[in-house]
Amino acid sequence: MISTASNSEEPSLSLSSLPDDVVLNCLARVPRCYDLNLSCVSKALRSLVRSPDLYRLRSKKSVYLYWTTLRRSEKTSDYQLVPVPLPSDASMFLASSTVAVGSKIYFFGRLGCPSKSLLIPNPNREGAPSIEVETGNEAESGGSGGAGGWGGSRGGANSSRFGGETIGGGFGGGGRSNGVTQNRTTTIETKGEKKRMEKEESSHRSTILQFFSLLVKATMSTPSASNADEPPQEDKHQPSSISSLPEELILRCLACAPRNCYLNLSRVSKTLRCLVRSPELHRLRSLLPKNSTYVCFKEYKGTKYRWLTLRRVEKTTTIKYRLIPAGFPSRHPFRHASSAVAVGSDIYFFGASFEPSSDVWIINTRSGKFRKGPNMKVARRADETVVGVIDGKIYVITALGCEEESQVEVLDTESKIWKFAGKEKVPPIPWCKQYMASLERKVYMVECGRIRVYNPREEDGRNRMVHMVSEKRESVSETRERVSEDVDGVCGVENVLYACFDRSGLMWFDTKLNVWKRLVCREGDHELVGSRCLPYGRSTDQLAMAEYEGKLAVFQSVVSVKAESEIYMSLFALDRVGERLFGTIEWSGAVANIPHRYTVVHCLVASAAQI
Amino acid sequence: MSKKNIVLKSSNGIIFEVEEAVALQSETIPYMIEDDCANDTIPLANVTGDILALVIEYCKKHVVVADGDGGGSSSSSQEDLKNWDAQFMNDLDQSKIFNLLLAADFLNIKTLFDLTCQFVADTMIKGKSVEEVRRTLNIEKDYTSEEEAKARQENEWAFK
Repeated sequence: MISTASNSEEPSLSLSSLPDDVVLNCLARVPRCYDLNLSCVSKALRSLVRSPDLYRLRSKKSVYLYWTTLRRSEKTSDYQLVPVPLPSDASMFLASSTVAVGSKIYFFGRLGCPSKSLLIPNPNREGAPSIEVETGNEAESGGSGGAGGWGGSRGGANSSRFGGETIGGGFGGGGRSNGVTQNRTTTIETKGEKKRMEKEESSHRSTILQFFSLLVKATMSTPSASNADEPPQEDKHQPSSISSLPEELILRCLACAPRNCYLNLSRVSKTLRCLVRSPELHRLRSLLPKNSTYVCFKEYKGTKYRWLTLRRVEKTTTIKYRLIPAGFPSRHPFRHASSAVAVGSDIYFFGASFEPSSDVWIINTRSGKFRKGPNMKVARRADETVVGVIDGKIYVITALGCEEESQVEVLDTESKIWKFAGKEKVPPIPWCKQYMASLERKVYMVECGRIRVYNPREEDGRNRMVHMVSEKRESVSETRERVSEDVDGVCGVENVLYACFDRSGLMWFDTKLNVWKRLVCREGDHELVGSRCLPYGRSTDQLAMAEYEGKLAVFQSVVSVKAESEIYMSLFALDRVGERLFGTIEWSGAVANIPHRYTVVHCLVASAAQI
Repeated sequence: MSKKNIVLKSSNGIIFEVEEAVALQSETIPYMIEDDCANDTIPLANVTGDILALVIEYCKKHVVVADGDGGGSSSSSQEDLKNWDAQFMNDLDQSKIFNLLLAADFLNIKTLFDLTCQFVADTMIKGKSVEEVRRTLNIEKDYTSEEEAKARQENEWAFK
């Protein structure tokens, strides 16, 4: 007898007797200019108006659950699914396992992280559905913990799909709390008026339908109007802990931090560990400006080039990587090797291989078209020239040669104007292959036994170019040792300089101490030492390194059958713990086949976005 | 184009009068104007006066550059702006930074929001040890000793 319940008496309702989430939903429809007025009404309203929940609601980013119950209409004898005013904030229930006992629905666990909470909306009291939080003993993650029992059901079927949209939930006491134990607060975001919300916000959210079939023993009772006003909370207007921020904002900050600090962060607190491991963080990171990695091969003694770009190929369960043709011309308009550097989505080529040249060519990675750039003021040979990028400006330095001084030039890529940036002393030394990387707003030049750092912001001209002897140190206790091995490749990843040395393998440069340190490489549980840190050994004469989504990609070519070379890639996930850096091989395998008369000439990372 | 002023009122009742172009860097404020309630003042109930002052300082600094976009703004001004941003953030204490982040999110000022997020990431998270992160971010350790031991075991290779 459902329809006759509340006709006789009309309990005097006030806004404060409504659950907060309902009030918030109303407030979200009130123009913001009334917020101030409302906040003068009562302390409870003020705390609602000021709550992050309200503007989160307004910013249309919520995830909703629809609760319905099967009812039979007395008049028409039709069956209908009727909306039930249960909390629709999905983040609380995502991927939970559910079971109904008596008139309560129990939720176990939460997506992604083990949770001790049992969330129990009480469908019994329809006017003011309540959520209680009880604490279980065993922490279990939603989706893995199954729930059995009478009318057993199933949850978490689509956990990965809506994981990406999770917003709400609590974070160490942030937000308001409704009868909460432990640190996990339950933030109710929205409910009711679903149709209208749907119309307004359909383009902004993903709808989640979770079908439960729960038998709930329901007894009718009048809605309890004595819902006590939430004890007025003094607004903490000085949040000095990151925990006081909404989870969404913390995630945005985490997404800005380098990937290599995540392991460390997971040790700080459980809540941070959950956030670091959450699919939402990975989704946010995937929204960051994307870069593309290009590898260029040149025909040995020929004039043909092959430009390949790294792609991730995701099949249902496996992830593979391939180098696929980038669609750039196989013949360059200039018939010589040159130093190359990427700025934005353009790759710049400077100088010529035999005769000094002041030519500058630019390829746009989007259109794949070459164009002529503004000529340098000084003609340079490519094998003596080092180029680096700092703040969108290209610095060109002749770092070797018979001249004792090098005229440094800088190209402003926006105004396309070359300027001289002073002279640097270049001691005459025997030629050897130079590698360069730009990081920490400096240009690093690495070669056999030496490292040089060019810092254009250094006021004292004598210190703009710093020459150092390469040294390595295994651990704090050990003494420094000279490294005079051949260098096979260099690149910067998230502002850290990595190099591959002939015998010592992968190392990183500690810029505080100016010393090379071993990258502790691991594959599974095995530690890979020295030159064996690369799974395909050092039998290859071709090696290239580049950053790929905050990870270190090492390309090696291995000669295989039929005059072909197989290009292998090892992708290292990097973790910084204290003074050490760890590289864990996340993936390795063949990424391309190319004729073996081709050799690597460039390995560059260009941004996919047009500048 | 006539210069129109917009009056903003902070949660603690402090009034700020700013040029329209300055205020319109917030994507929330035009929305409030469209709500047809911006006849005189726009109350910002989520933002206190001291934080709003910072937001306005930032917007004033950045409005000039947005104007001069077509007129070939020199890259030095871009660089100056970057340095100014860095100085601006450096002068703030932690609680101000978090409040600024909340305000930038609420007012939907994308560049300020990105700047603040990046600053938090760079100065409070990057290159810090576990204890340092706890201290700088003011996070309480919610691991029990067993849980911490377990977590350590998971990544034993790194925390030896």
